[in-house]
Amino acid sequence: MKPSYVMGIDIGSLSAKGVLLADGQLRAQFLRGALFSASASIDAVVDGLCRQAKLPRQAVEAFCLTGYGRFQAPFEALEKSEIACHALGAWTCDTALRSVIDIGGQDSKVIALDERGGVLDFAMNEKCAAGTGRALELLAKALGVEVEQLGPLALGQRSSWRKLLVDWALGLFPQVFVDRALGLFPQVFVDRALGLFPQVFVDRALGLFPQGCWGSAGAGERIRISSRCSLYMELDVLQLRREGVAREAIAEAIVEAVVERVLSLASRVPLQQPLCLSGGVAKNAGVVAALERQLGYAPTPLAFDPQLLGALGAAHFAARSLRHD
Amino acid sequence: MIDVVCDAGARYVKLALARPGETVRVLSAHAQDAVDLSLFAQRALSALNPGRLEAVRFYRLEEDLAERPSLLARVRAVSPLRRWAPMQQLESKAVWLKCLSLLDQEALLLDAGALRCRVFERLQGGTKLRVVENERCTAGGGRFVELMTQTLGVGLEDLDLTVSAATKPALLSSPCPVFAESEVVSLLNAGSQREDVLAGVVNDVVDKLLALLGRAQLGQRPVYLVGGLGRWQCIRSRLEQQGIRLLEELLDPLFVPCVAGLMQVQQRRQWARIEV
Repeated sequence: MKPSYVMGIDIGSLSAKGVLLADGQLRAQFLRGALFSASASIDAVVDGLCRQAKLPRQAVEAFCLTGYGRFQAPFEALEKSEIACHALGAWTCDTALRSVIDIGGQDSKVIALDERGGVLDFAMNEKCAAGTGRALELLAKALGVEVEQLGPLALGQRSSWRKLLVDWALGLFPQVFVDRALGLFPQVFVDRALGLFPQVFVDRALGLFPQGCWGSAGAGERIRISSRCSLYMELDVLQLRREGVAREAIAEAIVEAVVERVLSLASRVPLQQPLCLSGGVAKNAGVVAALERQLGYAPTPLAFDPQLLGALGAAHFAARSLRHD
Repeated sequence: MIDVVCDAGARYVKLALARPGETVRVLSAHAQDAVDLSLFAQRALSALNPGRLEAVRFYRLEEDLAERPSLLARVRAVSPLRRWAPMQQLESKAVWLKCLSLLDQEALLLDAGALRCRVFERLQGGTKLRVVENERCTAGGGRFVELMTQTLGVGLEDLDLTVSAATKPALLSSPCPVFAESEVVSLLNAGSQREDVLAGVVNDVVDKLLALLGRAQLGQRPVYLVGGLGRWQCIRSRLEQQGIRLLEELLDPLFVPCVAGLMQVQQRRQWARIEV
């Protein structure tokens, strides 16, 4: 007997994803960057999956589309919301899950699940994209690194032995001594000294010391950036770079701010354990670590690509639609 | 003695430099290319003033003055191996008051920058400053326009030309720059022309500026527009179409704060003549 093939397709703002199931079992999965039009992305995903599975398109019995591009299907297909698809996709990987945090390209959602993978409640960002993958991309660019490098950079900050040393030293050195020392050193002496120091010496000295070797805050020190608008966050990153703060410290501050923004949604939908992450940002190790720190417990790891959970859920909806028929 | 004033914005770092009484020279660099402000200032100074031994006073415009520099900053300031000559802080409030003092008594100052848009008004005979600004969202700023031009594949330098070719400006509804990117792509997919979409972006930005001016209770008063957005004719025209009485540009709007800062430190009493 021929297996029953169904396809789930998730067209996001930054990427297009697809999953092909044969009799409910994973047969192929596909991921690519989003094309200029949603219908072109859908076609590309269908072609990619059929090529991988060596199937003609006609062999697929049902399609289900999700994501912001789901309304532009060039063929007949079931349409489901991303929230329902991420919920079902995560639940099919682990039926014990009760919450999903989905961080996508332009939106982030907190979803509460029932015991059958249905949506009990959800909250998503409506007005501001500060807690999303696109914000991470913009901030990585402002930091002068690729978005893939942000996670390792932020983790590098955490594991730095220098942080431990700085924390320890700060504990031993009360602020009052610093204040007293400053009070003994009036600004006027600094100004006078500067007047005696001609420009040409500064230029020569600058030539001897490469930019960045005198960072004012090194790896290991904790800093914060605001989590308001992603463009204001971009400015904060630039200001920190201007102050010579180490990239690792800024990277950590970026992921902390983005996670803070995402978790602000949890005030509307309380999170219940076990919880998993979905969406492309879930692959960022720095974000996962920051979430773990802010939540106080680790998200449940899934044996499936978190970026494809929406497509997986869509494929299961397609399979359910066949059973109902 | 030469004075250098640095205005480090979100997209551009601007410098104004002059000896007292001389013509002010200005230059700018993209913020990503001038992360180290002092190094940028030093290089600019060396290029404009090659091989000359001259004392320099550096100033940087700051929103809030730190009460006292940190111990590290002070040690750095006197170290011969310092990375930069220390920059003195120049409070931007004083600079905006200086700008306003050079305008008509009743005029408002609209600073439309990359992220921040602010309206300044003089109160109590010019001794106090009232500020109305966009605090949470950057949708009306220049960076928003820049992101949209990037999404549309139009060079920022072609903004005026492209917008002038628009016949039916599109309507945008997304307040967030990131969401607006998707909306712009959707509009293009739906068959809108790039110039119409860009004109829609400009209209959206101008609407945000108008809302800000409304919050500042503009009334019939004239407005002096400064900041990066003030450089675009399409923005100025749209504001005028909406009934805003814009004062004539006295100098490149991008450089107004740092030139005014220089005038403040040199106590100049008239708008400076500048060379770009």
